[in-house]
Amino acid sequence: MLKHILTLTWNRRWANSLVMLEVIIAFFALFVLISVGYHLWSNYQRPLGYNYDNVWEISLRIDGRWQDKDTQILPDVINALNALPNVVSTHAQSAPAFRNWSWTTRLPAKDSTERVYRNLFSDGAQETLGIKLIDGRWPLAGESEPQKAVVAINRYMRDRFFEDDVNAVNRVIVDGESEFRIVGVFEDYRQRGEFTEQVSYTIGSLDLSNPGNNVTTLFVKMAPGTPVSDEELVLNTAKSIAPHWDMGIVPWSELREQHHANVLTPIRIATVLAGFFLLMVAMGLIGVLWQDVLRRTQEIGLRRALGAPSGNVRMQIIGEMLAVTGLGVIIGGVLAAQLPMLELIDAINWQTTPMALVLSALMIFALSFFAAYYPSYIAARYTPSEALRYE
Amino acid sequence: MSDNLNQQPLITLKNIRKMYYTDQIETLALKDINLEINKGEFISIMGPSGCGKSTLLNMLGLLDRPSTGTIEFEGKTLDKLSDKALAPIRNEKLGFVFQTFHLIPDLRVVDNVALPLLYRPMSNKERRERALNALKIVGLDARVNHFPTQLSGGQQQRVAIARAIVGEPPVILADEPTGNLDSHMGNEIMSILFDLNENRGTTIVMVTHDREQADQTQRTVRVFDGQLVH
Ligand SMILES: Nc1ncnc2c1ncn2[C@@H]1O[C@H](COP(=O)(O)OP(=O)(O)OP(=O)(O)O)[C@@H](O)[C@H]1O
Ligand SMILES: [Mg+2]
Repeated sequence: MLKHILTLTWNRRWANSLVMLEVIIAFFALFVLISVGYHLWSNYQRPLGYNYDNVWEISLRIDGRWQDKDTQILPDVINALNALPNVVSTHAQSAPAFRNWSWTTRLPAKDSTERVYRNLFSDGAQETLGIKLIDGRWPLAGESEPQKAVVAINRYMRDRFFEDDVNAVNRVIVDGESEFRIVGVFEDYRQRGEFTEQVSYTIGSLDLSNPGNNVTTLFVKMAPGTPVSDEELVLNTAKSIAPHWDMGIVPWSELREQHHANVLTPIRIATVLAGFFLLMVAMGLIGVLWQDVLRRTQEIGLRRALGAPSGNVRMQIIGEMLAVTGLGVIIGGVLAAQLPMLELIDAINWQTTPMALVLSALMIFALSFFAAYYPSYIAARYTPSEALRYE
Repeated sequence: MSDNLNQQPLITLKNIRKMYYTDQIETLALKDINLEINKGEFISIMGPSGCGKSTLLNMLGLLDRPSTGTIEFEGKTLDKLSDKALAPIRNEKLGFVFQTFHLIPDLRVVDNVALPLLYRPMSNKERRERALNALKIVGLDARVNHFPTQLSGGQQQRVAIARAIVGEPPVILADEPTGNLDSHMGNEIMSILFDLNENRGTTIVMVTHDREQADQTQRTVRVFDGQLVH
């Protein structure tokens, strides 16, 4: 029987190649969607690395350049805010979070140059935000010099830049004129929220006595349960000291939600489109297989007239379909396995590819099985004489 | 052949009725048919188009179930049997030849002929040998690796006959086996059938529109409007 199936499959190769093409397309589509879906999901699963609860962001928009007088009043603003009853602490950063705002540079990593995100935190900010230090220490104010930055890096950056057995602390990354001395390693600080890729990240010290042009944002940590109405008090206090700063205040949690809404809209649209696409591909595959089996109703009748038990005929047809599907899956699998090598998108990488291949194959087989099982069931319900008359 | 076996009919139809239901129209294709087919007979079935000849042959060939009545095969009543139980009877006892050949276009001639043997336990080698032998009997041993579409109509029908005899069934049922062929090719097919009947003792039931062919057979059954006429 196996030889018979193989002979028949081979002799029907042109009809089967249509089915196979459909299988390959469906397999490929599934593979990419599963990879991307899994990637987004696993990104979302990774911890944010800091705590945004009860933190309010005060964004600064200063007319013209940052001047000495701004440097002079900055500590006064921070002290005045810290003196408010519900304020736990205040710090400054050079890059805000949950906004499309980034400061990046490219540095030589293990085997290529890698984009590295940078940020400067004023003293104590890391503790306030609950960023977890896993090795070394945080940079201190005044440690950095022009072209000689002192930084802590995140775990991902350590893995991208150093071999496993190397201690990253006290290593120096040299890039032309500039140097980055690493004094600590922290878990993560996902500046742009939970849906973003893993990125290399450095945190340096923002020296409040010499901030340059770097202060864009103040963060005020409030006591738990502080009413939203305090926003005005906080803002007015800052304005009373720095009336020429254009400031806005918003709770970080709100900013995060807004940011997610922006990020999620394209993801949702893509998900719906992907769902439709998948549905179309699945319908196509089912349609082609279904048609193929129904076209063979006469053959089913004939085989039964010649003495085949109907279960046997159905098994044979399902077997043929699964064999063709298997061939398509193998070809699709070989093609899909080339994708991580091309490094087109982060979502398709060596870690997730085996899982995505196996899952896609299982789903395609389930689909094919259904698409062969049901019409063959219908065809086998006819008596042999009815099946032979079927057009 | 013992007298005892000769006395027992091979196939007996008792009070067979067959109704077809299509969109509110009921067709009574067969009414109260009683018919005995004896071992070794060559029977022809004649009658106008639509009178129920094919329906009758399908009853004899176990390809359809009667609405009422019973079918006995070698003395055993079949109407309680499941499809699974009927399959080996169709496979071992019956060979079918259809007016429209019903060859599988994607299989070579030899594989088409071997088809009934696929459902019997035997080696692929033996299946092939028997198929080649059957093709020799119908005079097609030079065409074994052709596909059906590469053959003439007469050749295709000879392939179908080879398929019907490959399992050496005691009965062959042929539904207008020469209906789609010219008279020369029709005669060839007829001589193969007569040879099977005379030299191998195969029982043959054949539907035909051809008077001359019917006259050559041992007995002619006439059907009119779903009933046997005598
Ligand atoms: N599957 C079916 N469904 C409905 N009606 C059917 C079916 N098969 C046959 N009939 C009807 O039963 C009657 C007998 O049909 P059958 O095919 O047995 O005739 P026939 O004598 O073989 O005719 P022909 O010489 O044209 O082959 C016809 O009226 C036909 O329309
Ligand atoms: Mg007919």
